[in-house]
Amino acid sequence: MASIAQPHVQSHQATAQPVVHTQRSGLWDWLTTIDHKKIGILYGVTAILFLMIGGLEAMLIRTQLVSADNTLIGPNTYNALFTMHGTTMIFLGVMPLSVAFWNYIMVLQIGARDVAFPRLNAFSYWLFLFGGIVLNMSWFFGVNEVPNQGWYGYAPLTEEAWSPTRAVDFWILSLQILGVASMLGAFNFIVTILNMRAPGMSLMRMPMFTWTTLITSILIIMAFPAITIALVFLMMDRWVGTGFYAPAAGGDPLLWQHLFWVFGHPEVYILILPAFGIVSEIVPTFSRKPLFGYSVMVYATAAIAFLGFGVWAHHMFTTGLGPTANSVFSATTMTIAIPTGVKIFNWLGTMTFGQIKFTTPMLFAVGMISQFTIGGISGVMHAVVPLDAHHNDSYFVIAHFHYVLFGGSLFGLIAGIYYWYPKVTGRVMNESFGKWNFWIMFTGFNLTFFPMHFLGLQGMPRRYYSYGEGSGWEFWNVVVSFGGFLLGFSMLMLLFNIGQSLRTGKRVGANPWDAPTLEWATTSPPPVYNFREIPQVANRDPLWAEKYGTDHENEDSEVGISIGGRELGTAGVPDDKDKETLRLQHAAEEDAGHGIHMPNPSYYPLVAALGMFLLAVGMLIDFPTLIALGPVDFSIVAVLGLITLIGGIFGWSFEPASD
Amino acid sequence: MERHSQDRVEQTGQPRRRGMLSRLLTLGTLALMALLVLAGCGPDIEPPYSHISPESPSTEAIQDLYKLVFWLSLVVFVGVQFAVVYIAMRYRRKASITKRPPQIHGSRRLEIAWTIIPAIVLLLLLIPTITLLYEGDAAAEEGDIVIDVYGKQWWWEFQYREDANQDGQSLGVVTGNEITVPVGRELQLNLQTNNVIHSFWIPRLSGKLDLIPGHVNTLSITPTEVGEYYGECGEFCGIQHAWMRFTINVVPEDEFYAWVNNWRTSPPTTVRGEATDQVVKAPDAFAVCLGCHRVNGVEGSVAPQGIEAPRFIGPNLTMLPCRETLAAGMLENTPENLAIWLNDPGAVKPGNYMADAIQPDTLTDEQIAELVEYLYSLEPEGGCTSAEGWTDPSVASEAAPVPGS
Repeated sequence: MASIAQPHVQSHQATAQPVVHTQRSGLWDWLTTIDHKKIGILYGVTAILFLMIGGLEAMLIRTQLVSADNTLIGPNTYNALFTMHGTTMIFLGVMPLSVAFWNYIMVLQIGARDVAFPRLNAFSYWLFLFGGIVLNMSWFFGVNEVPNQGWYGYAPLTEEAWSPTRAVDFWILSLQILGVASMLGAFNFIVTILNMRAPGMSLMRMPMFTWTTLITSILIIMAFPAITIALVFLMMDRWVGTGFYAPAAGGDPLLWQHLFWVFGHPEVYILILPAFGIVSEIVPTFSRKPLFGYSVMVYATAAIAFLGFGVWAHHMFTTGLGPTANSVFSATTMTIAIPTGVKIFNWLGTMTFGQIKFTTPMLFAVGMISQFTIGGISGVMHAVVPLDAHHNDSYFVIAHFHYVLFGGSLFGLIAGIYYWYPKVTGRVMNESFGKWNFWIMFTGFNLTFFPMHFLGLQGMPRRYYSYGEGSGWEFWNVVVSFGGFLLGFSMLMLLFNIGQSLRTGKRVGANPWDAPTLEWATTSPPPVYNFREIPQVANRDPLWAEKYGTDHENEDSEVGISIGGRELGTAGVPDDKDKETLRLQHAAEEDAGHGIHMPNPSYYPLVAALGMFLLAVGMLIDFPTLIALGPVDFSIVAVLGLITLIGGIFGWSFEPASD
Repeated sequence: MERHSQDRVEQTGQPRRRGMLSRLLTLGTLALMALLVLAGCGPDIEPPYSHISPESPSTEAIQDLYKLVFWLSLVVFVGVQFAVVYIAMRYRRKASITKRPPQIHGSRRLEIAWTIIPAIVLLLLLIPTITLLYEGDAAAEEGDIVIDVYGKQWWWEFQYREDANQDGQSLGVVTGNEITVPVGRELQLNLQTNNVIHSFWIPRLSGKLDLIPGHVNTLSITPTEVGEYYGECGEFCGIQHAWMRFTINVVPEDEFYAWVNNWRTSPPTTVRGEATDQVVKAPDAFAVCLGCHRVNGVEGSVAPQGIEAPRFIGPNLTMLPCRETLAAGMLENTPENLAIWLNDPGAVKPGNYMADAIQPDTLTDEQIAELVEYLYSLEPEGGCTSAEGWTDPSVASEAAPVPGS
C-alpha cells in the first residue's frame, strides 16, 4: 500500500507542487477565503463568540433566580434573556461549532482538497455571521425589541396582536437567514462526501465523524424546510394579516407547533449527532482499538435520524391531541432510545479490553457518554405521556435537554476542540490545565443541571422570571446558580486555554495522538492543498493499518470494500489489481500535468451575503421608503440590499474559478 | 476476545481486579451518601407545587407509573454509570504494556443483546403508558360540576356552569384566580382561551393540559382530600407568565354550597345612586373599576366575561377579601397591598393591562382608601364558606342578579 502519511513539510515553498497561492493571513484574505480550513476556523471562532454571549445570558438568568422575589432583572429583560439564550446556543453556538469541524476536519478525513463548492461554503459562513448579527442587533433598539417569545415562539403569542414590537421580526428574519446558511452548507457537505472521498474509501470505510456529517446534513435539508415554511406563514400573518395561526381567520395555533417540531425534533439530532461522531473518533484513538460495531454504529445513526422525523408530537403531549396520537408518539419516541442505547454500549465496548489513555479529549468524551446517558434516561421518562403531563415545561425538562445538549453535544464538541486543536494549530492545548478544565466543568455542569430535576419535581415551571418565598424552590435555585457560575468559570478556562496554547502550546507533528484517520496523515497545520498526494485508502483505520498492519482475524467480514466496482482481494488488503485501479484513479485525480489545482479566493460570497443582510436590515429598521407595495415599504436600504444580493450572485456566476 | 481476557488475567492477576471493584463500590457509596446529604439539605416542608405528593386519583395513577419508571431508570442509570467508571478504571493504559490490545471490531451477539434487552424494557413502559392514557381520556368525559376555565393574560377566570344544578342549588359563580370546590366530587374543567396559549397545572391534583385559542380541552379532577392546592400556568404566555397562579380550596360539600350561596346573595349595591336600607353604596371612584371588573349585585356591573372579553378586562371581584392573593399570586391579599396595587399596578406587575388604565396619578389617596375599604367589606360574616351569610339580612337578597354568562 502506498504511503499515506505525507512527508513532513516544513514550508510550502519546499514542496515541489506549484500553483498554490501563498497563504496570507491579512484581513482581505480572511474576507475572500474559500479555503475550507479557514472557513472552518471562522465558523469555530464565531461560534465560540456566540457561545460566550449565550453563556453570559445564562449567567444573568441564574443571577436573577438566585433568590426568591428578586427584582434585579425585570420580566421583559428576563424573557428576552432566555429567548436569546436558547436561540443563540442552538443556532449560533452548537450548530455552527459542528459545522466548523465538518469544514476543517471532515474534508481532511475523506482525503479531499476542499469541499465540492468552495464559494458556496464561504457564502454559508457569511450568512451565518449576518444571521447572528441580525438577531443580536435587536439589543441596540431597547429591550422591548429583543426577541422575547421563547426559542420555539409558540403562536399566537408571536402574532402581531400579542407581540406588536419588532422583536419577533428580528427573530424570524435571523432564523430565515440562518436557515439558508444551514441548507446550503448541508447540500455542500453531502455532495462533498458522496463525490470527493479519497480513492478506496468506500462508504463503509468512512470515519464515523464523516458518517454523522453526512447523516446530519441530510437531516438539515429535510428538517429546515418545515421551519422555513412555518416562519413564512408567521411573517405573512404579522405583515399582511393572513391568519395561518389565528383561529378567528380559520387558522390554528397548533399548526405552528406541528410545523415547528417537525423541524425542532430532528434539530435535536442535528445538534447531537456530530458530537456522537466526535466521540466515536476519540474513544477508539485513546483506547487503541477500532470502533466496536462500526456498521451497527452507522445503522444506529441512520435509524436515529429516520425515527427523529416521527416523534415531533412528543413536544405536544399536553395540547390535547388525544390518547391515540399520544400513544403512537410515545411508542416512536421510546423506539429512538434503542439505537441511542446501542451507541452508548458500543462506545463502552470500544473501551473494554482497550488501553485507555485519559487525555483531556478522552475525559470530555467519556464525560459526554456518562452525561448523555442521563439525558437519554430522562428522555425516555418524558416519553411516558402521563409523566410528561408533569414534566412538560418544568425544570425537569430543562435538566433533560441540558444533559443532552450541554452534557452531550457541547462536551462532545469541546472534546473535539481539544482533540483536533493540534491539527489546526500545530500545537497541543495545555493538558494539565485541560484536565482541570474538564473536572471543573464536569462538577459545575452536574451541580447546575442535576438539581434542576428536583426543581421539576417540586413543580417549578420554566420561564418564570420570579418566584415567591414559600414555593419550596429557594434552596435548589441557590445550588443551581452556584453550579452555573462554576460552569461559566470553566468556559472561561476553556477560552483561556485555547488562546494561551496558540503561543505556548507544545509543538507537535502530524499525528500526536496516534490516531487512525486520514486527517492525521497530513502536516499540522495542513498545507492549503491538504494532501500533496491524494491518499489511497484500503482500510477503515488507514493510519493504524499502515503502522501496525491489519488484524486479519478480527476484520469485520461484512464490510463492503470495493474499488472501481470490484471487490478487494482479501478483507482490507488490496491485491495487485486493486493497486493498479487505485493508481489510475489517483492519476486522474492529480489532473496529470497541471499539478495541484486550487480555486481562487472570491469576494462575491461576502457581497451576496451582505446583500441579504442589508435586505433584512432594511425590512427591520425604518429607513426612508423607496417603494411601497401595499402595506410593505421597501426602504432605501432594503432595495440596496436586493441589488447587492443580485449583483453578488451575478458576479459570482461569471467569475472564473481559477486563473 | 476470549483469548484476550485470558491474557489480561495473566497480566494483571485476580487480586487487582477485586481491589478495583471494592474501590469502586466505596466510591459509589460515597457519591450516593453525598447525594443524600445534598438532598437532605433541601427544605423539609412539603413544597406546595410538588407533583410527587398527589391528592387525586389521576395524579396517584401517574405517581404509581412514576415509581415503575423511576426504579427502571435508576437501574439503567446505576448500571451504565458503573460500567463507565469501571471500564475507565479497569482498562487504563499502563506504561509496562507495549503490545497493542486485540483489535476487536464488534460482536454480533452482544449487539443483538443490547438491542433487544432495551426494547423489552421499553415495552414494559409502553404498555402501562397507553393503558393510563385511555383511562384518563375516558374519565374526562364525565363530571359532577362543570367549570369553564378561561386563561387570560395573566390570570384565570372560572365560570361554574349555571345548568349544572346540584341538589336544587344553582351554581353560576364567576370568580378569578381562586376557586372553591367540594371534596370527592368530579370536576369537569373546560379549558379555553381567546388570547395566547396557557397551560393549566395543579401539580398535586392534575397533570398539565393546555388552553389553546380555538380549542376546548377537557380535564377531569376529583380532589380526595380537603385542603388548599396551588396551580400555575405551565406554558409561556407573555411578560407575566410567572405570575399566573391560582388556588383551589377543596372543602366539605356543605361549605361549598354555603360559598356558592354567599356569592349569589352578594348585597345589592349602587355606585351612582344613594345608599338605602336595601342598597349598599360603593364609592364613586368604583365607577372606574366597573369599566373592567364585575362585582355580583352591583348595579351597572356589565363588563364582559369569558371567551368574548377583550384582553384588558379584569377578574370578577365578588368576595375579594376571601382570596389569598392579589394579582394572580403576586401579592398577599392585605389592605396595604391592595392600596399599593391600586396606586400603581404597573410597578407591581409590569406589563399588566390594568396599568394602561391606572397610572400613579389616576386615583387620589382618598379614593384608594375608599376603594380598599369598600372592597374589604365584600366578605360575608363568618367567612366566605360560612352558612351565616351576609351581615344585614335586609341587604342579602335571594334574588340578587347574576351577571349573565
